[in-house]
Amino acid sequence: MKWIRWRGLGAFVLITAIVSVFWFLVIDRVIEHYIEKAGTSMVGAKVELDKADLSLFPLGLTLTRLQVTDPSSPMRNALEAGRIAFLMDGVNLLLSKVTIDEMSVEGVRFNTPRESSGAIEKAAQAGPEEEPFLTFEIPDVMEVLKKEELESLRLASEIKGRIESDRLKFTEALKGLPDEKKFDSYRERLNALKTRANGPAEVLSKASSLMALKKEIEADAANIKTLARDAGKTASYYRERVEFALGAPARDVQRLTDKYAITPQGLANLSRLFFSGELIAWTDKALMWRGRAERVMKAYKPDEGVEVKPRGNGADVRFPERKPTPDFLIRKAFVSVNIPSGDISGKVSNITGDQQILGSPMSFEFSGERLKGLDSMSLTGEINRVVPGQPSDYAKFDVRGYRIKDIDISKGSSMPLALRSGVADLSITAEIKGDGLDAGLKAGLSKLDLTAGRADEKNPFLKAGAEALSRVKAFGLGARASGTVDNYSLSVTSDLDNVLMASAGAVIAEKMSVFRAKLTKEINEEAGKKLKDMRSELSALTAVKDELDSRGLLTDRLIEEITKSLPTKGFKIPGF
Amino acid sequence: MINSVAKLISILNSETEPSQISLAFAFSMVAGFTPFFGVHNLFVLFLALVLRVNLSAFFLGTAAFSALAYGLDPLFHTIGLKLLTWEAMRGVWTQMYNMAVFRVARFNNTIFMGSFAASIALFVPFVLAANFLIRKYRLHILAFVEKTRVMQAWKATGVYRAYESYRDLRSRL
Repeated sequence: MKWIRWRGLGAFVLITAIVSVFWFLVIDRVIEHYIEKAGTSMVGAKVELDKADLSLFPLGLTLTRLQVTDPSSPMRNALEAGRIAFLMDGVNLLLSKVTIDEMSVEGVRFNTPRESSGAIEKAAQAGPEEEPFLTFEIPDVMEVLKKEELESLRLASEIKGRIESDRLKFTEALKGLPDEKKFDSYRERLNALKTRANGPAEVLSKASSLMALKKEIEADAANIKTLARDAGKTASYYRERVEFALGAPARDVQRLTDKYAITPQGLANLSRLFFSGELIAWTDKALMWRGRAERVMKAYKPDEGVEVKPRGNGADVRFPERKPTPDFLIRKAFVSVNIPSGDISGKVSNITGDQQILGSPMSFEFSGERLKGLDSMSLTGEINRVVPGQPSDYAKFDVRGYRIKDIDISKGSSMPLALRSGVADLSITAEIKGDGLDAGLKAGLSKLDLTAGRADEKNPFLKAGAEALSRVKAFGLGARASGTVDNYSLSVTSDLDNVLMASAGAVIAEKMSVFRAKLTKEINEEAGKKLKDMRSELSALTAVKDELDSRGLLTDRLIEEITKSLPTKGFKIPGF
Repeated sequence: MINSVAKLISILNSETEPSQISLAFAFSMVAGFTPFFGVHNLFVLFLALVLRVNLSAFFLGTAAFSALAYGLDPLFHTIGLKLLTWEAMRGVWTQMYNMAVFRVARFNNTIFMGSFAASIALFVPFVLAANFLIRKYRLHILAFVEKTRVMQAWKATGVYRAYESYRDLRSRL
């Protein structure tokens, strides 16, 4: 039997050719689908690609119109790239490593409109809690008191209860100590012993009885004085607490005034109310994209060991590599970005999730000059994961001579503020080390045409404030976010604070004094009775202590009397 | 299912050499047990086409063994994991891991390694056992069936003669 089937060789070639042609015909669509699916999963909103084109000789890929939806605004693209083209290292690709020496990213635009929604799920998103803008209306004092727990009431009840409990204990203990009757009996015994003695034997007997009586009274005196000392200490402690509680109404007034009324402290940071909403939104957005970028980086994990795959796909076991190289690496990506002011260009280096293997951090630099409505801008930064346990990122963004046109700073609040025109210089720095965030913003705005407030505003403060703000021609703004990426605090300072303070200080002072007076009256009335009860209870405790002191005094007198009645020094009574 | 059984009986009843059938089934076992889309199966297909093995048996066997492999995947994963994490073989695996050809074959995947090792280990015993069973089948069962009156009557029909002519023509093609 002949074992070789030569026609089979032809069939094999034919089958292989058919499969290869089919593969080549569908591979573009497969790549497109893969990029869309993986991107959508990472971003959390639709990632769409118009076309992917794989070339074999040389091995490269060209992607046309990549759209990345903004998850927080599904009708807009966070990013859109017109064309992405790169060549790949074929040998490395066989080793499951994507190495791209140079990538060209052209026509990048941000925040572009979409034709259809890019949302992948309709999750009910709770919007960021808007910081309430001061309405400059004094709330009703009675409403405030209904909502708030008063420290004065709480302290008065609590301290009164504790004093009462201790007073009862001391009163109970007092009952077990010698009282008037007992002292009378001591005196009777003493008087009996003081009568003239007949003969030395009786002298000795009386002296002995006197000593016994003295000892008895001394024991009682010790008990009385111990309890008196305890009662004194307790009363003294409660006196301090009562003093503290008596100051509580004033503290309540201050706290509620700070919270509900317009204080100089509240006014001193009004610019926070204007700008913090936008700044927090920007910071959160930047941190969100950083988090998503990190997920992309973590998608490539080069650690040795068993990498478990979905069920049915087994697990890939990784072994040490002779020359370790990152699984995914773009050495240089040249990016051109279209912004409304013109084109800016930049370079991103060492894009990889395996920085510890590469030994270099990812860095980026973008710049643009002589742009429309903008003198210059630059963005530089670094994402460092070379030591995975010590991640560190920084970015610096500078804009010079930005011509402002119609920017609404606070639309919905009771004090609308809009910059109609002006020039801004802006500098932002941000650094994240581990979880720690430290970011700062400095801005200088000049040649301003600013509109503030509503035309039909009745509120005197808002009216005065709006008029003052409308006259502002330049101001500086500073902001600092510090803390952790999950929980940071934002501080904002601006020259606008002084403007507002100067314009509306008198209106505020008057309103504040009315609110404060009403609040003081109501709190004093409400807390007055309870505080009085608390003081009465303290008086009752002090009375117990006084009673103990007076009994102690009686015992002292009796002891002194006995001591005087005893024979003089040198006379020794047998048995003592 | 009925078609597959009929096809199997048809193959067994044909005049093909038992070794051609058993070798075809053995190749199909490798192709079916291991992950289908892999470069190794291109080589298996090449062998199945170039070596004079029964192609019907190969394709039928590939389908059957692929179905069987779904149930055996956990077993293959265990075998593969044991082999790939076997300290004595670590040097060999590391060498292979650094060679593109083996990486393309995805040898470091536990299911691939387990199924490939199992099918290679079973290859020769499977060929010998299948050879033996086919011969026994033809000697005893087929001979008995051929002698039955029903089969005699069936073979005497015009339909059967037409089928035989078609089969003869097909084998010559």
